Amino acid sequence: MHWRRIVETGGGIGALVTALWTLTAAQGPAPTSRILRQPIAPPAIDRGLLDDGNVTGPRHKVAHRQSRRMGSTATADYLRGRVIVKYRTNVSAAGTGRRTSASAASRPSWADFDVVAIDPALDPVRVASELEASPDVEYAQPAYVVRPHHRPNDPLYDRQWNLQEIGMEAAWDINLGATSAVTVAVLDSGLAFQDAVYEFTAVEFTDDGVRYPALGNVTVPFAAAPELSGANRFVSPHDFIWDDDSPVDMDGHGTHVAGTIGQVTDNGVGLAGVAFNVRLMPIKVIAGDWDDIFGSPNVGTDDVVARGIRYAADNGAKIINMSIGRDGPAAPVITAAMQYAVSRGAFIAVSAGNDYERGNPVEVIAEAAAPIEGAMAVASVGRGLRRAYYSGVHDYVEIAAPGGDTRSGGSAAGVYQQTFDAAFTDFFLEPPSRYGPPRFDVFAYRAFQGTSMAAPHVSGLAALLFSQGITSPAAIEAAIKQFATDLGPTGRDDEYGYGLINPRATLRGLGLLQ
Amino acid sequence: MARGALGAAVLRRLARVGGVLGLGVSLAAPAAAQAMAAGSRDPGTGRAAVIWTATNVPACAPASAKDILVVCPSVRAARQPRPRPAVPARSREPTFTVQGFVHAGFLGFSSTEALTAVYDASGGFLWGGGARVGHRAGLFVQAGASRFAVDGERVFLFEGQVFNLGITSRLTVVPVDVSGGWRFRPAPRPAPPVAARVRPRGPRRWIPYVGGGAGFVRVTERAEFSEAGDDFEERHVSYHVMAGVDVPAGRWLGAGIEAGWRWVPDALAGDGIAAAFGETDLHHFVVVGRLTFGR
Repeated sequence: MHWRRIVETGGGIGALVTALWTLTAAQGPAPTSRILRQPIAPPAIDRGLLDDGNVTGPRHKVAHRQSRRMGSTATADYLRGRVIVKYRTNVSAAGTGRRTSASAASRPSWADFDVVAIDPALDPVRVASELEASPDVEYAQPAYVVRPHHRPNDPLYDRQWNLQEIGMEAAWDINLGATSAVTVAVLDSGLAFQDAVYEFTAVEFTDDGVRYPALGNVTVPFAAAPELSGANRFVSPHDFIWDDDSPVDMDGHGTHVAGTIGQVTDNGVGLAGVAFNVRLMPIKVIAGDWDDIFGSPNVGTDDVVARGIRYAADNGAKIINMSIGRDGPAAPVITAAMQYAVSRGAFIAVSAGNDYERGNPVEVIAEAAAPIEGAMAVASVGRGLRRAYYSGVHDYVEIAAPGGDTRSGGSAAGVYQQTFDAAFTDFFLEPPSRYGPPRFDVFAYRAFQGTSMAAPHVSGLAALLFSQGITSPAAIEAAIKQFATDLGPTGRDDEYGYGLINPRATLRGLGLLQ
Repeated sequence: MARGALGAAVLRRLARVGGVLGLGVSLAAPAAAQAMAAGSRDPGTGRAAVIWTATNVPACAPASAKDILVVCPSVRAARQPRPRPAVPARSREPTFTVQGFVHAGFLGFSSTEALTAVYDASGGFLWGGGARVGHRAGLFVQAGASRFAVDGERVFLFEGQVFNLGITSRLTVVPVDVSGGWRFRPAPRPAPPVAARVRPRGPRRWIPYVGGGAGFVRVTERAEFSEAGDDFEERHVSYHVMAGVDVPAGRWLGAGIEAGWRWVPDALAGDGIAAAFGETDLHHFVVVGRLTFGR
């Protein structure tokens, strides 16, 4: 914050140099700077679907991403008075009808079946059943009423099994993506919300014994993700890693997560999000690899996360998504912050962790969320709606949502959203010879998997519920649990919690009788 | 002589009329008796004027008509068109009567919390109709149906707090039942012999009744955005008692009021908000006004 403010307000170069020197000296050899060179940038580049079979795997620990610096971590209605009947060849409709309750039949246009009139007082289901028992009838069924389901026109929506499996189309019939009155805070690695060019200083680092050279001062272009941006889409952004109000994403995780919550939908482009009309509050509390390399003043520690939670609650967020976590000792500072946020009327969704096959450690933030009425720990299911191989199994798991499982479905079983094209960002995964500065203005639709991808489904549903009228965090949690589709053993269990989220049923609530 | 003949004729007429309008004459008798006891004279003739009560005119009229001017308050009535033959009241009704009726009124459920949560009401307007077959003795059997409907919106209940979800829902309750009971017809009065000019006054004959029976109640709840199996429609056995009063308004028309209580056990035993409130029965009381047709 301080550096950018100096530049933006035309502060003296001397002050900048002095400040830079001071910070550099304080942090040793790694210079910590982020300079806004241009408040605008060339338009984002949309590279479209990246379906190369590579799926960004589950992030096993936030600390793991920070290892470079740390050195080690959900009976239709039918019309009376008619049934639909398909007779077998050379069979008289009237003849069959006499044996049943059916009477006159008519053949509508563009049909190879008949519509048979029956006494309106009769039950079409029973009549159809009678007809179907006849050897002359191929099939018979009531004329069930078909209703429109909101199906997004986004061309890649077909790939979003994750939304289809939880019945989002029917849910959108009830609540079409919430409203801009609902703000969802995304506490993550930042968000591609801004067109800008920043200058950073990249120092050398070593990864697994491989030394990467210092890049010196580099200008890095940023662009708002085309599928996230829109008028007044972003509200109260804040960066607790760089201590300013530009929580630009230098990882892609936060942008992907935000996409599941609020990807622009029905715009004929790309993919859909769960609650696509909400406003997004980007809050950066996690440092990505490039943040590390560029020497961000902070990393994602308990205090930073706690401050982020409190910031979100104090700035009007009603839903807080935290696709982050760590194992180890308890984090009372985060627990207290979550309790504060819930007391301020914010619902919190926390990913339950991806390390089932790595010893299934207790995820501290998810564990802290479970006892709080208004905060939920979210496990992940794959395309077959079975627990994803990585999803943590714990007594604090409260609910499950699609997070992807490429082991049982390949890349198509990942969760697709728009984020950075890794080919332009992840140079630190390349050999040093191909290592170079990133650009965060090239986007693609990529498949990720992890409980990080599951949590935003719950956050999106919570946003829909909030706009539907359930404004208490505790009530939102209770509703999500009550209407969940039970998976695994009957009742709550450690794999799926209370089951898979069921957005439509949750949004419909209850009538007197059903 | 002429006077005597006139007097006899008047008295004969009076006797006939009195037989038809017995009740009215009886009502007039106390005043006449007072006048007779006091005695008086006719201001025009100076004869003794005695006011006869209807019951003692036939016995003394032929002998005393010559000298006594019979002054009867109902003498004009005796000149009215010839009345119908006196027929005992009960015998005017057929053995069996058939009536159709329509009714409208108010229904109030016993399960108030759940209904109020979803429909912001625990009762409301009810309408319906039916038919009744009655025996002259008082026994009757009737069949009827009613319809109650109320609109609300689906909710979510959490720790006693109701969150309205803005999804329109309609509850329809249709009781269909058969009742049997007894109508308490007024006891027949002895036919008084004379009752000129006196017509029935005061309230019409009110016929109270009580009864009970059984039937079923069809309960339907439909809401927006319903899909397969979402809407609720069930029938439940019901039992009821009722009491009311019929007020004949003519030979073919009548009115009345009825109140009743219907037991509909386990009609709310679904998965809805009623279960959350621990309410399982759809018992209700009904108060209706009724119009009847037929006799």
